[in-house]
Amino acid sequence: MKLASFFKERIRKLFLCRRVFIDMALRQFKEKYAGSKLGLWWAVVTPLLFAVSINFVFISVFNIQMPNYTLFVLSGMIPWFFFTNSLSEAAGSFLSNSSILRQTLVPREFIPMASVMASLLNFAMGLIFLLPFFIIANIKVLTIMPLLSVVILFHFIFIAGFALLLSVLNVFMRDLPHILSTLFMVWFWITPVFYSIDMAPASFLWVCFINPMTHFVVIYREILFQAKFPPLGNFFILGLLSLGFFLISYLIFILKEPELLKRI
Amino acid sequence: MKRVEIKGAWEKYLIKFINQGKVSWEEIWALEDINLEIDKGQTVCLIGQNGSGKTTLLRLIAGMLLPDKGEVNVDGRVSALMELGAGFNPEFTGRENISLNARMYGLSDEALAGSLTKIIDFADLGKFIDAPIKYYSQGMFMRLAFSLAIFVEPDILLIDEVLSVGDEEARQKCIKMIFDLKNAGKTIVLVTHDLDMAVKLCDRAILIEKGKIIKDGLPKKIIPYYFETIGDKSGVAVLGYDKYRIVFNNGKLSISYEDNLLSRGFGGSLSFFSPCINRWLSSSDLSWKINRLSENKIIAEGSSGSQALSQIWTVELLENQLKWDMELKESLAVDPHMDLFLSPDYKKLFTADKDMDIPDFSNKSDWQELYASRDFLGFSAPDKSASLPLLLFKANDRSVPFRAFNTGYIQEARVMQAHLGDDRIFSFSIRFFPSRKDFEDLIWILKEELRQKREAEEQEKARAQKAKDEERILAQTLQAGNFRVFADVDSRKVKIYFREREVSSGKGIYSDICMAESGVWINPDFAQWQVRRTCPEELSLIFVFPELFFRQIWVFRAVDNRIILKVSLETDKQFSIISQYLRFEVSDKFKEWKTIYEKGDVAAKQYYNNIAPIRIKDNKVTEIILGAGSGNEIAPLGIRSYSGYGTKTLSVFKKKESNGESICVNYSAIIPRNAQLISPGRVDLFEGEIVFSGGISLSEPIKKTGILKRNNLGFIFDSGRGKIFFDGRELTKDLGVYTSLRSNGIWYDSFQGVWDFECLDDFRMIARGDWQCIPVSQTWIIEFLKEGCIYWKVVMDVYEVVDLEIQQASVMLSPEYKIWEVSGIPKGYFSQGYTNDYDILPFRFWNGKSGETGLCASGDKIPGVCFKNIRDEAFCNAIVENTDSIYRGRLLQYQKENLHKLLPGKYDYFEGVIKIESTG
Repeated sequence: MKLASFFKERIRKLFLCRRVFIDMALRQFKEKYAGSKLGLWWAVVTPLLFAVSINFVFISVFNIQMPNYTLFVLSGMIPWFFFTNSLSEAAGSFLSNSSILRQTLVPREFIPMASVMASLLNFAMGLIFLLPFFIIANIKVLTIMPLLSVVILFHFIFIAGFALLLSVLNVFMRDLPHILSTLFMVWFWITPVFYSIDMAPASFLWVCFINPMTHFVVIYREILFQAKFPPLGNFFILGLLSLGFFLISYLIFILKEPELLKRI
Repeated sequence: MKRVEIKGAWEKYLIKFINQGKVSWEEIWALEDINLEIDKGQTVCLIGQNGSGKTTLLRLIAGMLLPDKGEVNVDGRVSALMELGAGFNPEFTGRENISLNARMYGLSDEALAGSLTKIIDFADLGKFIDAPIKYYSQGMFMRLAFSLAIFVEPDILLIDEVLSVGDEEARQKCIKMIFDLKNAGKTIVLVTHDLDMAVKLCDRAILIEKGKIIKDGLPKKIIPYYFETIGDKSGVAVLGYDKYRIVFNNGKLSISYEDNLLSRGFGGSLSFFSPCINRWLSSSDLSWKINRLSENKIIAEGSSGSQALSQIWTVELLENQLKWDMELKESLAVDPHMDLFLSPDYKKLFTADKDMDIPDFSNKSDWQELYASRDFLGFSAPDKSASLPLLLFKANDRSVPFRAFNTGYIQEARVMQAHLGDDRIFSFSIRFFPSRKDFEDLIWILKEELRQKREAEEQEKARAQKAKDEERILAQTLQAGNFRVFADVDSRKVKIYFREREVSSGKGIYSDICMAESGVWINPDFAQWQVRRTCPEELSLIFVFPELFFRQIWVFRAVDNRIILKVSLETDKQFSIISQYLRFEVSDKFKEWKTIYEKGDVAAKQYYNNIAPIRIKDNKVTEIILGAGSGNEIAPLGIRSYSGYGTKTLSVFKKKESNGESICVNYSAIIPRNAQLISPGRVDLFEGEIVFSGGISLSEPIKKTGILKRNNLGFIFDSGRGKIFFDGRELTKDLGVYTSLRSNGIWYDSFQGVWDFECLDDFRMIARGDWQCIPVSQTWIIEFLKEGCIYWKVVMDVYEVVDLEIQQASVMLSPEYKIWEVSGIPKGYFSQGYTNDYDILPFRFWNGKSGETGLCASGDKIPGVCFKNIRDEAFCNAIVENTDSIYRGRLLQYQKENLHKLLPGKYDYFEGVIKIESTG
C-alpha cells in the first residue's frame, strides 16, 4: 500500500515535470553541438564517413562479394551507434550534471534519461538523412516504416534502462567509462554488424543469442536492409524483455537514490 | 498548516579516509533522529557550528538528500538557494538559464513571461543578462541565482549562507527581499552565522549541534546557547547564577537573562590596534584557555598566533552583578578598548551628568556617539520589556570614561565602550537590576557620591594650588619681624606686607635710571626678573635687561626687625646716567609723615599729571617715617637711606592709581654735573633699610650749634642757619639766616651742609660748611659789631671747576613783620597770603639793585630788621618777598645770577649787616 502510494506519487511527479524532461533533453542535444561549426550535421557526417570507410576496406581491400554491403553494414551500424553513444554519455550524466541533481523538484532519473533522449534525437537526425539511401536500394522499406518506429521505441526503452543502471553504477564506480570503452569494443565484434548471423560459426551462435544487441541489429537489418517483417513473436518478446529490464533498472535506481545523492 | 514535517530522520555519510595509502570507510551520522515541523509562514533559522548538520538538514528539506531513516514531507514548491551556480549552465546566457531553471522549478511559460522582467530587473545585470554566465562575477551570479530563487514564487524558500557573497549593497537588497517574502507569508528556512540578522528576521531559531536539534525557540533565547556550541570548546565557559547566564566563548562574552539575550552580535570583546601587523585585533581572534575557579568564576587566557600571552580576563558572576577584569599583556597595542553590544531594546541612557533617551538608529553602518560619561553608565529598557534587566556599568577601582554608541541600523545595537588605561588594566562591573526602583536609587546615590567627590577634588585642588602658591611666594619672600618683602615675579612688583596685609601699592619698590646717551628710562618693567635666595636671611633680585649691558642687583637682607636693601648696578661697559631714583610706593593708609626736621600730613590737593607733591622743607634728609594715624593697626613705616646727608633728595608725593592712591617716597640721587659716569664693574646706587615699628625714632641730626649774645640780642647758629633773638624773642622764622646756591639746576642750601666751628666766642664765630655733592664749601663769619648790628660774611672755597648759576644770601623773618622798606623808605605792606605752589616764584614785592640801600622790615611791637649788603656789587639783586605757605615768613634776600664756571679758588660770597632797630 505504502509502496503503491510511493510509486503513485513518483509517477505524478514525473508527469508534472514532463516539460522539464523535454527541456533537459533538448538542452543536452543543443549542448552537444553548442559551439561546434557543423552542429547538427555531425549526426549525418559520422555514419556517412563510417560507411565510406567500410566501403573502402571491405569492398576494395577485402573484396567481399555481397550486394549492397555498405548498406548492410550501415543498417547494423546505426542502432549500434545509438546504443554506444547513448550509454557512454548517459553513464557519466549524474556526475556531469551534478548541479541539476542538486536542484529540487526535478526527478533525478530524468538526467540519464534525458541524455538518452538527446541521443535518440541525434540518432533520429542521422536516420532521416540516411533513410533515403535504403529507400533507393529497396523501395519496399517505405511500407514497413511504422514498424521501424516501434523498434526504435523498444530500443529506446532498453537503452534507457541500461543507461539508468550504468549511471547509478558510475556514481559508485568512477572508472566505469574506461571499462565501458573496452567492453563496447568486445561487444561490437560479437554483435553481427559486419557480418550476418548466418556467417557466424554454430559453436559461436549462443554468444550471439544472449547478446540483446544481436536481436536489435537483426530486426533493424530485416526492416532497413531486407525490408521484410520480422517474426512478430520475437518482436514482442524483445519489447517485453526491454520493458522488464527497464523496470528492474529503475527499481535499482530508486533503491540507490538516497545514497547516490550523498555520493555526488 | 505544515509546510515541512520531518519525523525521526537520520542521515549518514560514508566517508573515505585515506591515511598513508590505506583506505578506510567510515559511517558518519550527519543527522540523528531529527523531528521537526515548520508551519506555513514561519521564518526559521538554523544555527550551529560548521559541520553541525545545518546544511544537511536544509538539503533534506530541499529534497536534495533523502533520509536514510525516517520521513521528510515537504508540502509546496521549494526554492533553494544553496551552492552558487547550482542548476546553471555556464555556456548559456543569463536569460537562457533563467528560462531553463524556471522550467525546472515547474513554472509555466505564461508565469515565466510574467516574472522574467522582474527577475532580470532584480538581478540588475544590465546587458550581461545576454552573456554566457561563465563571464559573470560572483556577485552577479549570486544576484541572478537569488533573483531566480525568489521570483519562481516558491512556497518554501531555503537559503544557505549564500548572502555573504557580493557587495554590501546587493546583500542589503537581498535581505530586504527576504523580509518582503517573509511579510508575504512565505515559509523561509535559512542557515546563517549572522546572528543579528537571525534575531531581526526569524521567528524561530533551531540550534543544531552534532546532528541533533539542541534547542528550538525564539532566536533571542536560542542565541546564548549557540555561543556555547561554536568555537573551540576549550575556550568556552558558561556561568550561571539565578536567571543570568554568561557565556564566554573564545574572547566574546554574551549575557542573557531568563533566556533573553541582553548582548548582541559579538557581545563583549576587547580590541586594539597592533602596529606589528598593522591591523586591528579583536579578542575573538585569539585562542583561549580557561581556568575555572569556581562555579561562577573563570580566568581566561588569550594567546595570539605566536603563542604569546595577549590578554587575561577574569569574569565572575555574582548575585545581580558581573565582575569583569581585563589585563592586556601586549606591549604594542594602540588604543585598546572594550566594546559591549547591547540589545536595541535598551532605550534610555543614564550618566553622571544627565539622563537621555537613546535616539533611533540614524546611520546606515557608521556608529553614532551618544554620550561619554565618567564613572558610570546605565541602560534601561521600557517597563513593558520586563525581561531586560536594567544595567549599570561602573569601573571598580577608578573613574573611567564610558562611551555609549548607536551602531548603524543594519547592526541595530547599543554599544558600551570603555578604553583601557595606560596600565592596560581594566576592571569594571555590570550590575543588573530587575527592578527599576533599585536602579534609580543607586543612580541617585552614585550621582550624589560623584558630586561630593568632585567637590572634594576641587577643594583639594584649590588647596594644593594655594600651598603651591604659598611655597612659591615663600621662595620669593623675605620676612623680618612683622613684615615681609615679596618679589612678585608674575606681576613684576616688589611688594611689602605688614602682618600679611599688603601695604605697598602701585609699583611697590621701584627703581628707575635715565641713561645719558639715549635719555631712556630703564626700570624693572623691562627687565627679566631673577629671584635668588642665597641664604634664609637674604633674597637677591636680579634684573637683566636683555638688550643692555648692565644689570640691576637688589639684595634684601633681614637683620633683626629690619630689611636692608642694597641696590647696585653691574655693568660691562662704561656709561653715564643723568638721573636715578629709588621709590617706595605704599598704600594711602599712611596719612602722616615725619622727618628729623618736620612732619606733616599727606593731604595734598593739587594734582599735576595725577601726581600731587607733598612739600618737604628739608628734602635732603635721609630718613622718613610714614604713619597711618591713630586707630590703624599698621605700624609706622620707617625708610632710611644710608648714604650721607645731602646725596639724595627725598620727595614725597601722592600718585593716583586705577584703584586708589599711592604714597610715594622717592630717593633721587643728586647728580651734580648733569651726568654721573658709571665705570665697568659694580656701583652701589642705594643702600637703606625699611622697618615697621611703633617706637621708631629718627636719628638726631649732627648739629653744630653756637650762640652769640650781647645784651638783649642773641644769635644762634644751627648747622647752616641762624636765628636772631631780641629780648628772648625770635625775630626770624624757620630757616632764618641762610644761603642757597644753585649748580646745574640743583639747589644747595646752607643748612644741608655739614658744619663745624673754626672759632666761637661770645661775640664772634667762624663756621665752615661742606656739601657732599658739590666741591664747594662756605665759611661764615658772624660778629656782633655794635649795639644791634650783626656782621655776616660768607666766603666760598671752590675745589674743582664748578658751574654756579645762582647765589643767594637770605634772612627769613617772622610773619609779624608787616611793612617793608627799601633804603629807609616805607614801600608797602606784606601780604597776608602765601602761595601753595611748589617751585614757582613766591610773592615777590620788590626786586631791585642792591647798592647801599638795605632791605628793612618792621611791624608792631617787634624790633625792625634791616638787612644790608655792604659790598657794592653790580650784579647783585635785592629782593623782598613772602615765602610760600610752608614757611609762612617774610624773606629779605640778596641774589647773584648768571655766574658761570668758577675755577678753583677762594671767592667772596656775601658780606652784609643785619641791624636790629629796637622800637624802644
